Amino acid sequence: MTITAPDGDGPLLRVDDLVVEFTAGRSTVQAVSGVSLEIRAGETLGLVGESGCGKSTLGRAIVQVQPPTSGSVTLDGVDLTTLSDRELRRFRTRIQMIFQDPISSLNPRRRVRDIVAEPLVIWGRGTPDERKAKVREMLVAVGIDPDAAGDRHPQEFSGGQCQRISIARALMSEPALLICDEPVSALDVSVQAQILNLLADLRQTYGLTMLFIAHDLAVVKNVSDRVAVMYLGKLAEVATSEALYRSPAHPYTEALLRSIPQPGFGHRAPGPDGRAALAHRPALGLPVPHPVPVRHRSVRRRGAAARRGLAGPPGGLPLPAGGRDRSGARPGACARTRGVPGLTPRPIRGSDGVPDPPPGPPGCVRHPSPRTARRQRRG
Amino acid sequence: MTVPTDAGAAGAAGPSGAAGTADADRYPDVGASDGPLLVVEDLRTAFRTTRGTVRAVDGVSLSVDRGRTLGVVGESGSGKTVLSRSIMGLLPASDVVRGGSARFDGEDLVTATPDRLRRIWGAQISMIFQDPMTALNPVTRIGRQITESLRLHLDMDRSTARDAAVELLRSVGIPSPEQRLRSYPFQLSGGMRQRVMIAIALACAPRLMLADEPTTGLDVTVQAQILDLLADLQQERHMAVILVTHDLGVVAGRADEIAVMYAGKIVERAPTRSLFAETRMPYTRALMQSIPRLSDPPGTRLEAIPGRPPQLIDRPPGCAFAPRCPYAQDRCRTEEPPLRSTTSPDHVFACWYPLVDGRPTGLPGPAAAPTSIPTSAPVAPPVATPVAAPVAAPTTGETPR
Repeated sequence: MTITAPDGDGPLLRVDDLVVEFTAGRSTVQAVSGVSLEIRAGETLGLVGESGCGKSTLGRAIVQVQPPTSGSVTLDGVDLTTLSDRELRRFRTRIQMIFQDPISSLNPRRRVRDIVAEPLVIWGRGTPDERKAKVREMLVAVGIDPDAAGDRHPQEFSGGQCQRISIARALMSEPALLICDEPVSALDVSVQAQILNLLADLRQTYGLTMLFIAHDLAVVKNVSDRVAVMYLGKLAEVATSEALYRSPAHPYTEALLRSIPQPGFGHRAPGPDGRAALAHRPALGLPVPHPVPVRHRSVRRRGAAARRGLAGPPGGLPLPAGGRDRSGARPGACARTRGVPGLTPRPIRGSDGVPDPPPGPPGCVRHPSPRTARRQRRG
Repeated sequence: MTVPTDAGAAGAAGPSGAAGTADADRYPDVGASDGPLLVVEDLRTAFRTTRGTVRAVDGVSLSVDRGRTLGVVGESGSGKTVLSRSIMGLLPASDVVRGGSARFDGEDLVTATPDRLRRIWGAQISMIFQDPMTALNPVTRIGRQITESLRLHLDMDRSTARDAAVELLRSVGIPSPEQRLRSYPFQLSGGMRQRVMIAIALACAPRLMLADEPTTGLDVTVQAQILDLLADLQQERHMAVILVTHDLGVVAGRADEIAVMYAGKIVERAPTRSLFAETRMPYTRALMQSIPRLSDPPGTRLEAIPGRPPQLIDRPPGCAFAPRCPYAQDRCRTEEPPLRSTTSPDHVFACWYPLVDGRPTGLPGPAAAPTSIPTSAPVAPPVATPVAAPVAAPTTGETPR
């Protein structure tokens, strides 16, 4: 079974300068501010960032569950933002989502076989017998016994099993793109491994294209071909998983990498006082800014936000077309990092005698200019 | 750091016959005798349900010294949450069978009266719960929730308690604490709510803190911040901590000793370093290997543990992990291994064929080579049977939401 014929080498999904704004009282919150990315057919793109950075909103905006304020989302050459509601509904069968909480994303009052069959029932695809066969096939594919499980309700299953059922449901309509929004963060580590392995197998079998949203870089690295790091509504860095881990270009990526607890990794001997040394202390020295940039309607306050470096340059991060980012010249929104052509390379941290790097542009929140930094200290 | 001190109340709340002065009572490192603060022996908790007796904690023994951290690790349903609740005495009033002892500073918490427990909760032992959204009262302001125990246990007046609450919120890293006192839980982010939970737990400067999955559901960066915060506060206050989690990575750098639980029992207990360096129990090793590692190349197949933890009703004879263990022998299925040690008395494990350098030892027969480690079977994994229908009484304390 093939889901979609990848047409040539072009991207399956193309997101261009996507902006999503929410109005909260008198101010506007920009949850996604100018994100551009591409996913090729058969590829898995990981999307990492802290909660509140806009990664879930980006996922929802791609499906048009949350209508974007501006920008375009093109799947297979069709711009989803221009479709009418009716066309969109029809087209949306090609994108499916898996959500974080497996239990609450299944209707507790329906039987498993009805839940899984629903996508086909809604669109009237196939005869009842064909649908039944398809449900069986999918349940077996995700490792659920259709005979034992089909007549049961979701609450009779554990979290990991519910996530398997969600995956089966998502694959029923043979989607071109699967958006996984934190599919394993509610699961135990041992179950998480089972689900990640399952996704890897299904990807092989069905040639899935995935956008994998998560906050754990180790998980994302395991499943993704490329990883996009999101921070404050913008992409901070896009790179192949391997390159991202080997040499994170953006300091924020580095901080994320350091927060991941790893057993045995860098585990130090207990200190002289007999206490275990803290092996994984992340150096998130800077105060955490407001999760998403806020644009106040007041001109004065907007100006202040811009000066503090919260607003940033419009447009966000340019993404080189055609996979240039695989070649090492990676886009990184931080101008003080290496890897961005024409900008100052960043000296290696901790090496002796390296002078302080020149200040970056005011648009970077992690590297405020000396003047901004002074103002922040005073304020 | 201003720690609320009130000599009279502390003395009254302290266990009888404990350290002499109220100050020593509050800060056990000042003149307090050394030795374990909490000694749990053969603790048993079982729930009577319509389907049978669920032995959620089945003969657990452990001890925690003052100022030290014990990590308790296990999968969902291994009984780790029921263990921490049994130590606290936070169990349903009926249909519970309890046994063994949990002596906190010499006083048995299992047989303590509810009235006595109320004096200990918050003041001597406190708990951080898993889900800060449901653990906090949604219709009460943060300030009231923090000052409640201060006023009750330490007999503070309103304004002193308020000042202490501001100081507590500041110590857990909440910006502008004066304003935050007037916030409701829903106005805070998940990380902030968990900080508030920690502030409440710390309010009366307890000597033992039970942290039950304090960072589950939080971002990795927030998780690291919360765990660092706990470690700092613990060092400052010389507090003993029991850190309960399903993630070995979380306790790796933070616990002095780690106990691994499976099916209501401790299957391996060792100083952290020893546990990682010389893992003896195949289950511990399997847990470690199921965590994706940053150093592995993308697409590396994870070594998931096949199957599910056993039901705690009518547990089969032998080792509870045997059905999922790659090295299981006939003996494992019939005879239950006791907790024992080989090289170091600190490192105990319950396995007939303990691992040495990742290989089982003492296997019978010439063909001692292990069968290949079953990875979570690919497209047709061990066909999952639904977990048993939920029962009225809590089975393991970790029923799916």
